[in-house]
Amino acid sequence: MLLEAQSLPEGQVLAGDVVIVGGGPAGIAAGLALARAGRKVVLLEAGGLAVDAAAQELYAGENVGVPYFDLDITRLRMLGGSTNHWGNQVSDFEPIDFARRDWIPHSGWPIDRAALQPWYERAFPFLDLGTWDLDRPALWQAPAGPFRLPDLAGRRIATKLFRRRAEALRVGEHHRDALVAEPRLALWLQASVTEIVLDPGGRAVVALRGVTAAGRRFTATGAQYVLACGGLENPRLLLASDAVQAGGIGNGRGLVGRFFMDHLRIESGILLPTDPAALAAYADSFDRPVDRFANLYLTPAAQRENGTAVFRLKFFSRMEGETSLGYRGVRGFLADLKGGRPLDGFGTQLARMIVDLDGMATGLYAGVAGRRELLCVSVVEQAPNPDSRVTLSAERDALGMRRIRLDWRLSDLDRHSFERGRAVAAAELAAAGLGRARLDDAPEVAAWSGIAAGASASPTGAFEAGHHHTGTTRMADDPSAGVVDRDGRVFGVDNLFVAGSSTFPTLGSANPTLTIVALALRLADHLARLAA
Amino acid sequence: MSRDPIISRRAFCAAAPLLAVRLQPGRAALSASLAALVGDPAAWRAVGRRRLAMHPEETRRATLLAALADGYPAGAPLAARRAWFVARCRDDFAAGRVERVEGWVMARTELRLAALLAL
Repeated sequence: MLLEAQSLPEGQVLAGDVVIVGGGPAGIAAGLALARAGRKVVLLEAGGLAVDAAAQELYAGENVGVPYFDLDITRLRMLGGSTNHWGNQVSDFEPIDFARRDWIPHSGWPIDRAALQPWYERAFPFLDLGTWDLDRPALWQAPAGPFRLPDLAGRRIATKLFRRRAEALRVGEHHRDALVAEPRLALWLQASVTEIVLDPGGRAVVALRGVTAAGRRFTATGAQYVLACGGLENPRLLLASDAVQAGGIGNGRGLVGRFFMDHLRIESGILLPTDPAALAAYADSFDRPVDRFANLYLTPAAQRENGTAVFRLKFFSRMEGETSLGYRGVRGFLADLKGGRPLDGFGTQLARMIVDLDGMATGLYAGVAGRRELLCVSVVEQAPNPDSRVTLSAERDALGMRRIRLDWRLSDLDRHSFERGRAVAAAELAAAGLGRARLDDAPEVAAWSGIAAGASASPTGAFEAGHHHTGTTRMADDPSAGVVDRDGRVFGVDNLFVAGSSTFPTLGSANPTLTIVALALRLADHLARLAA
Repeated sequence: MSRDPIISRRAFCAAAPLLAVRLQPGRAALSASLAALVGDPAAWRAVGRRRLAMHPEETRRATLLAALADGYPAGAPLAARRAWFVARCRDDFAAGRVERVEGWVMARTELRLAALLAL
């Protein structure tokens, strides 16, 4: 059932077996699975069916660390959550992502990769990707597949396979009919939860308090409660619910909100390919209607040997010289000219052309000749960092909730993973005869390299994050190391569970959505078993 | 990219053995045999000058020749010498014996050859 909370009278109580907060991919996956297992589900979505400025404003917050995306831009408060603007790149995590890596402090999951496989396979059809096939590289290879993957056996780089629908899946829209048709599930739109209410002993949740978009208060009750509202909002709700446990629920060790992580995406140089066709699988994943593509990544052995976190590399075709300083100067000058402001940046553009005449000439010539080079885009797994954290500010939103204060921090280890990762990848590409790389010390990269020392950098352009809000209620086997246990249960609270990327102890080697859905389906099975 | 690039893309492509090296028939003497491997000496010398500046400990002809001579099939046919040179560069890359010259990731062997030609 799909219901509008705006129609609720003041003080309504919504009752079910399981109450889920958040109608994104985790909440929808868990909600449908639980309902189909016979549980009565109350699914509370704070937004509606479309983007709404007033709802988005409730997400606004403060960035006080490394510049990050505005907090009301980097996520969407509506059914389907951030899958309404995601990059739609899907892959699984590697075994090493779950392992304790001695060279990565705070790494290691309480579960391993094999334990997740059954739910990865169920997550595939949930994301409309058909049958699980990430273990079948032959489907990527000619003649059955679209690409010719190079032989990288024995190399320090390997191929990581990704799926991507030609048309991005909007999870809320895609599952809307199923949500409406499911008799044991009540999906309430415009129903914002503002507080988790514990019993006086703090051992169990007795209710959730919320408010509708119309300003009427409601209560939701159940036997089990699941927070599934994202890597920023999950800790916000726990921290804001501090009536019984000082400092917030599950925050006795001060870990709620810590370890905020995101992938780093950095334009880091160019590659002159020996044979562009040999690297086609790794190039231009956004520019073609392909449903399969690949990244290169440092093998687990190379990560260990070089002391790096996960490092991935992908390419985007460019005209030869297009990324050079000189050619960018020409383009900038022409853009200024076209925009009727030829003098605005002329000094800068002229300087670029003068100091990089070669690049300018190459770019101009290649434009005529049609020669291509590959822009290298590095994707780096940020290492867990307890100082990188979400807290609450004193400012309150329209519903009276304290707003988020994000202090995103990067470390020397992150810089090392980037620098060492791209160096190893460049050497291995040359060793394999696939191409020769130039690693740029572009101004943007230099700015990023200075972040650990306190310099600032733009989150857009040549360096940006991935909108993967991760780690803020991390999973562990011991409450001294995490907020939730291996089943997603908040330590110390019997019936409160967390789903989503906030439970990831580390960022992993792929975009998070497939693993978010897999873990949500696993949690649903766990909750159904508990009820049985 | 650096503010004052000495190695142009054209020069790099000409100097990079795995991409566009122009190999020519060998000669009897080792240095001549090595020098004959390249088809664009000016480009190689440009790279070599930068390498000489970066490594003052490897600026003597004898030192560079000794480093390059190990296993080099000086009297072999061009194809064999080409294969040796490419393989040795690839070994360098695989073993991490690489250096960056103006951002370009280059094998130590090809840089030593460039330095030799620049002397």
